[in-house]
Order: sequence, then C-alpha cells, then structure tokens
Amino acid sequence: MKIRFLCLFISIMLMTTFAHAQKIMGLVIEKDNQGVEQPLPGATVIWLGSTKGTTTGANGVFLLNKLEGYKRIVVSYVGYKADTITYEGQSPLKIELKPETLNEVVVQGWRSSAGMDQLKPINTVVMTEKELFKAACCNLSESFETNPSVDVAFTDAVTGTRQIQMLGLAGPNTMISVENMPGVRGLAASQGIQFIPGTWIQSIQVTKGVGSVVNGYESIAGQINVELKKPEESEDLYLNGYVNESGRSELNANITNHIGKKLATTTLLHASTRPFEMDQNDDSFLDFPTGTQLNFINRWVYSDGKGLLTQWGVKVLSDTKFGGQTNFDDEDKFMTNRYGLEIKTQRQEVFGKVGYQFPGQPYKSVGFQWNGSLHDHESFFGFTQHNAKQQSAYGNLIYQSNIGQTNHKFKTGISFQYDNYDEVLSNAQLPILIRNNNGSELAFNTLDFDRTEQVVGGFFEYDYDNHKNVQVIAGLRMDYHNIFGWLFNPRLHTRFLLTESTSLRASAGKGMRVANLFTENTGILASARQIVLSNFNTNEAYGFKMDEAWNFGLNFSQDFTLDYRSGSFVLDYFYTNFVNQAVLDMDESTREANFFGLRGKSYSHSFQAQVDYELIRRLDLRIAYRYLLVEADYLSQRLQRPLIPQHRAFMNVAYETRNLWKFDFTIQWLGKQRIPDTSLNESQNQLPAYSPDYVLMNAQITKDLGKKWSVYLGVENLGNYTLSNPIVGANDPFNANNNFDTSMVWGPIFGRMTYAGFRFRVGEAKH
Amino acid sequence: MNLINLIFYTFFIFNSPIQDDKIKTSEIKVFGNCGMCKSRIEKALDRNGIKMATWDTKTKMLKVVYNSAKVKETQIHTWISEVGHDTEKAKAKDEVYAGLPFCCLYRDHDHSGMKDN
Repeated sequence: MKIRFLCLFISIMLMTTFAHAQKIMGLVIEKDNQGVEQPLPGATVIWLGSTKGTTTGANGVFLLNKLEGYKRIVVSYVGYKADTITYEGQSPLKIELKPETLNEVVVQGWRSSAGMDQLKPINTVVMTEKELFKAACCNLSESFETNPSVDVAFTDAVTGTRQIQMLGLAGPNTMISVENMPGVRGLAASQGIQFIPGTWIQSIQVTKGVGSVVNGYESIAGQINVELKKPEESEDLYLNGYVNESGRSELNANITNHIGKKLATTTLLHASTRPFEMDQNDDSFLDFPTGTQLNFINRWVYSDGKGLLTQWGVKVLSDTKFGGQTNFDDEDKFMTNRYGLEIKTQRQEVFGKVGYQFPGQPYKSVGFQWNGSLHDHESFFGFTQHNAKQQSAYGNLIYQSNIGQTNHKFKTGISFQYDNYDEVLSNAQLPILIRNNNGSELAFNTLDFDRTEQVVGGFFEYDYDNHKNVQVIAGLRMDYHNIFGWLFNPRLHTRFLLTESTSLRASAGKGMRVANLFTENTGILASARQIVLSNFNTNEAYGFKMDEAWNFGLNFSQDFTLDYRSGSFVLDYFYTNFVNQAVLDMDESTREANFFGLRGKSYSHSFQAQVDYELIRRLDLRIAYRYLLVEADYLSQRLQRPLIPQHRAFMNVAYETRNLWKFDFTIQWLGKQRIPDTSLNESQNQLPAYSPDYVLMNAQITKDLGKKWSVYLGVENLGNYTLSNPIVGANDPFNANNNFDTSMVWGPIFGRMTYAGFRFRVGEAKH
Repeated sequence: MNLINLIFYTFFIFNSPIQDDKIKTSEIKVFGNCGMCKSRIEKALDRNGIKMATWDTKTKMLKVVYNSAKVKETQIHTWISEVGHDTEKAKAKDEVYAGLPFCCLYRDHDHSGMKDN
C-alpha cells in the first residue's frame, strides 16, 4: 500500500516537473546604491522578434511560456537599459537591469527617522495592531483593555471622560507622547486620549516608571508612546466602521499615496457621533454626553535615498459634547430648571521631523523634531464655566553616535518647550475660595490662571552594552523653566541577563510636571463642591510648585517553554515618592474640593505578577494580579487615594482558528475601593466607606474574509454590572444642600453594550 | 525565602521536558530567507499532530516536534514544499515559488545585506 502510494507520488512529481518545463521562470532585479538587490515589478519580458511575452510580478518574478524557434529574450523597463539574453535551458534566469542615467538615485527603502528608536533596558511592552484589534473600539482611551499595567477609569459620571492610570497614579503622571513628541499634555490631558482614534494607531509602547530623558522630564509613573500610521508603511486604503447599540458610530479612513519613489503621504480621517440621549439608570442624567468629533491628519514623508528623511504634517480636531439632564437645551443654560454641560474642543497642530543618517555610519545620526499647536477648550457644567486656550511650541534636537567601539553609545541634544495658557474659571453661584497661608480667606466668582511657561534644556544619555549580559542607560537632563527655575532630572536604567531566558531590570529616576488642576479633575467641576485652594508654596501658576517625584522600579522576567509552547513570567515592583505635589482632597469636607500643596508624604507602591502562556496552539492566555498601595497626607490625615482598587486580577484569553476566526475574552476583578467621606451628607446621599468588589467582562469575535475584509462583533460589560446611582444628589442638582457630585465613580456607568464593525483594506502594510 | 523557593521550583518544572515515545523531534533544512518565510513555513506546519515548529532564519534549520503516530516526516517535507519552500527531499513547484514575495526568493538571492523587519 505504502509503495503504491510512493509510486503515485513520484509519478505525480515527474508529471508536474514535465509540465513545468514548458515555462521559464526568471527574476528581474536592480541594485540600489548600497549594492542590495531590489525587485523590478512590471518589467516587460518578451521573445525577441515576437509579440509573445509577459511582465514581472510585484516580486520581480516572471513565468514565460516557451516559444518554438525563439531563443532570445528581451527584458525592458522604462528608465532602464533593456537587456537581451539567450535562453539555453537554464532556469531560473536572473536579469539585472541598470538605470539609463548613471546618476539615477535609487531608493534604498524607507528608514525610520534618526534618533527615535526604542531602548532595550527600559522595560517597554509593545502593543501591536494585532493586540489592539482585540478590543476593536474605538480610541486610545479604550486600547488598554488587554494590558494589565494600564487602568482606564471614568473621571466622572456625566462627561464620559476616561483617564488612564499607571501605578495607581492619575493619568497625567504618565507621559503620553505621539511618535516621541509631546502628545497628550497641558489642556489636552483630560480629553486628549479620546482624540486618537484606534485605527490611526500603528503601535503603542508602554513603559512603566520613568522614561528616557530624550523625551523630556514629564514621565513620572510611566510613558505611553503612540506610533500613528505612516506613509512609508501603511496600506493604500484602510476603512473602518463601527456602531454600537446606543447608536455610537464611528467612521475612519486612512489613505496613503506614493508620489514617485521619494515622496509619500497619508491622510487619516475620523468622524464619530453619539446621536441619542441615553439614560439607562433613570436618574434623569445622560449616561454619556451626545456629540460629534471630526478629526483629521495629513502627513508627508520625503526620503532622498541617501540618508535624509523628512516628515511633516497637520492635525485638525473639532469635538463637541453635550450632557447633563435629559432634554436640556440652550435656553436652560445658567438657569436652575435643568442641569446641563458642554465641552467644546478645537485643536490645530503642525508637526515635523528631519533626520539624517551619516552614510556608512549607521550608528551616527542627527534628528530634529518639532511641533506647534493651538488648543481651545470651552466648557460649562451647571453654573461653572471653564474656558482655556493653550498655545504651544516644541523642538528637540538629537545627535547620536558611538564612543570608540559599539559598546558605548550616546545621545545628546537640546530642547525647548513653550506653553502659553489663557485660563478662566468662574461660577456665579459658588465662588472659588483662596485660603491664604496666613489664614485669610478670599472668594472669587471668576479667577484667571493665565501663565506662560518657557523651558529650555539639554540632555545627555549614555548607553553601555557589553553585548553579553549587561546593558546600562544613564541619562541626565537640565532644564531652565522661566517660572520654576532650574530643573534637574537624572534617570538610570539597567538590565542584567541572568541566564539566556532570565532577565532582571532596575530603574531609578526623577520626573516633574506642572499639574493643570481643573482640566485634570473635570469631575469636581460637575459637582456642588466648592473649589478651595490652600497651602500655597509659590506665587506662580496655581500657587503650587511643580509636581516632582522619584520613581524606583525592579522587574524580573523569565521566559519558559512548557510542552513545546513558550510563555513568560514577569514580576515587577515600582515605588513612586512625591517630593512636591498639588493634591486634591475630597475628604476634608463633602462640600469642598480642596487643592493644596503637599506637606507630608505622597507615595505609591505597585506590585504586579503576570504570566503569558500559549495554553494550546493558537490559544494565548494572560493572567495578571496587581497590588497597589497609594497613600498621601491629606489636610487632616494620611489616607488611601480614593477610587483606586487595591487588588486587581486580570485574565485575557485569545484564540485564533486556522481559518481566521478570532475569539477574545477578558475578565477582570476589581477589589474594593475607598470612597471619599460622605458622612456629612443627608442620609440618602451618603455612600459607604468602601465600594464592593466587582467583575467586568468583555468579549469579541473577529473574522477575516480574504485579505481585504474583516468583520467583528463584540460585547462590552458582558456581566451588565453598573452603578445604580453613579451621581450623588442627582434628583436636585441645584440645591446646595443636596451635595450634588458626579465624581464619586468607581465602576461602569452603562451596562452591556453590543457593537459591530468592519475593516476594509487595499494594499499591504509594509512593516 | 518561600517565594524564592517557589520561583525556583516553578522553573525547574517548566524546564523539564515531558517524555513520550511517540513524540519525535526532527531537524530539517528548509530553504528560505527572511521573517516572512519563517511565518509561512511555521504556519504551514500548524496542523494536528505537530506540537512545535520553529525555523531559524540564519541557519535555515527547522526544528519540528511531532507525534509520529499521526504525522510522518515525508509529509512534513510535502507540506513545506506546498507553500513554496524547498527542502532536501521535496522541491516546490515553480508556480508556487513565483508567487513568493521578493525577500523569499531563495533560489535567486540570499538574504544577506537586506533589511529584515
């Protein structure tokens, strides 16, 4: 039986070989200026003296039918010298064409811009597009569902704003950069992560602890860098549509064009809307605001093929959110018949990068990155009005090279950051209180927080790698801030390979930033709490020194193979200790939101364990547990930071079938969270001291249909767990004695939500 | 101290291979160039009976662990050639080879000097 099979097999093999002898296979190439062979697609291949022929495919390969009596083959391509070869039975053929003019510059392929690469000892988790597809909806704030290191929580129950948290510290302590340039900061800190649509994202790099000094001094708890779709590596066309059962709809289009071999452009478009008023919990308030977002980027890249790479682009954004009580309309504004809110954002930005790689010295490069932006934020919440404008400019010049051998590398450069803020906070009913350090108290119905910040600085980062088991990155930056003076921020990252599969990383460093008190805490604006500022330690900005913190981290990671499938085990511990901080105290009084300059201690301990393992083929399992201890000395006592779960467990299961079905399931358990003291409230508005623990689940199914289409269907909050009364005092928001407060949110506001969408793409992504 | 012990034993368990008579390991030379070839070759062997398949871009060696009761080694060669890659026992058809992306055209050029992502 076996022999018969073998005979059959051999005869089939022979027959197919014979049949193939009727076709000649060949490859047409050119050599670029580095001497590297590149394919020539679309070259014409014909038998000399006939009209019979073919053209080469995208890979430069042709299959030419044999023609009786013909022996000479002509290969031609526009702009290249034609070549004639004699066929004498040899296969495969290989033909190199040379450009007609000798000086023709041949593109050497796109190179990533100089000085912007990733650093190994810095423990960075890269989330690729594949990972991001596991949670198809919708923007950066919703992209971290499968990443147990980054939490995303609602800031309040009315604006739908989500904020990320790392190491238990509020969002802005994490620096969010876009292509290693300042991205989500300043006034954009609260709404900004919702302005980066998921389909625009190429990848996300998540770093716990302080980042590289090259990117500035602002990262304290971590750094999240977002790489957007780039002209040199994107599909020609990418469309994405999304809709969920509440009517939330999104449409994204990415369009890429190559103009010749040196110039390429990508346009990213986004439109989304939440058209319908939804009030699932019947508290008369919308669960999330209605509104629309229009968002646009047009970017260009030019490579001269000899080491120079230039990029530039523009971004334009317009976003509107309306919320509050159902049926609120403009006539109710600043009246007590209905509570309403509105957040309008307009943003324009220009950005660019120039990089030059020295020929023949791949380690040596110089790069300059810059951006300029205008950000206009207008909002009101009941009687509170918060309007702010920010004008920013940024530049960073980076030079990198070796010292002697390749073990010693360095990056150095200078940077500047300019921010002009024009910020007004007002409330006609409830004045803002300034409690001076001498005990005197001033009340203002309108307060200006205008300021101009100009920071010029220099940095040096040394990178030692013995190419065996030790790598050290030591960085230092000195900046001069026109308001806060000299800023000095050293940072150190080390990595030791204990065995081939075991590594130990340690990091230490300092980060600083100016907190934008009101944009970062929108929840207190949508409340009856009186804003009180006290314990000032400077006369500038909001009256508080810059937030300043030391961060220390340890990371142990072990790769393993169990039953021929690989996995990894990671343990990490991070300690953050604030030297200065503008702290928001919600416990001193239920009637007040107290901002004060830290006097005692404020710190965070974070411990996390994570296991990743391919349980069976194509089934990936990720399990994580995290413990947080985040405490601060508030005005009267040391307390745990509110609304942060001390314990959190996480599991993600991803299964992919051979015929391209993908199943994803995420479940997390969040332990109890401390709720700020509400014991002075009327009994119906009192909340327990701790929230109950709860479970959240999400699931998604994706199916790829051929190379172009894929469709997905998912459910958020599968267990339908929601807060029954997310807003304190929702029944009478304008009654001062009713303690109206939307910021006491410790869980989901809306229940089970089904969504569906599609992706359509033309052309291959090149990366 | 307990934690360190636990970690130690965990690794010990993870690193000890599971013994089974039917499970065989073969090293097969497979011609190819780049990371795209690697994923193509490994995907071709994502089948019942094959526990692991890893192809090394540099050495061109494929390490394959399989259940010999379900899969024969000749079958593995055929599967690989069917997606366009030659082995020393099975040659890919020209039509299939001609459809490979440029970086994978191992009969015409090797991968040295090319940038691999």
